[in-house]
Amino acid sequence: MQQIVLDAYPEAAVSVFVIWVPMLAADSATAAEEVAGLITDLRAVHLYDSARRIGRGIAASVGGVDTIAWDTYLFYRPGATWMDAAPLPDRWMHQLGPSTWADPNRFRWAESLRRELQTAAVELLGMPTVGPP
Amino acid sequence: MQVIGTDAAPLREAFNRVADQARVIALLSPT
Repeated sequence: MQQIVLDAYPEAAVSVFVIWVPMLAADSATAAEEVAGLITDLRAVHLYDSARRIGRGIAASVGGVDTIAWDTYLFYRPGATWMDAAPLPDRWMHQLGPSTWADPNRFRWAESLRRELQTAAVELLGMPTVGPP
Repeated sequence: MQVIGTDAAPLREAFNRVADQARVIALLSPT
């Protein structure tokens, strides 16, 4: 997020909500505070989803029933509004592997994830103003 | 960092407050 969206578009009107979801044994609010320091752009907002409420709501918005979204990235165009439920994103992808609830066609990993994030950023924000293509 | 409990309202309100902008949500495990 820092490099592909925020650093590449330093002047863009974009807000990045980083939701830290406790999914692994060592996850905690303290651990989230520590890694949040890796994304310091003022357009990023960090939240800790202690009860996984956001993770469940976002999963539901993309078809996940009674499950939790994490390692998931969602892009929304201007105008999208969150009413009772989170809106459908314009583009989304995940790192959850091909065998979970999430659409396997949206599974990306490593370089393929980087490329997909860049494609989504270009689609949403235009060509990057700095950094590699 | 704000802690969200069982109510998504803080994110919903922040998300809608900047509805004139593009927005990205990234859900990540801290570790």
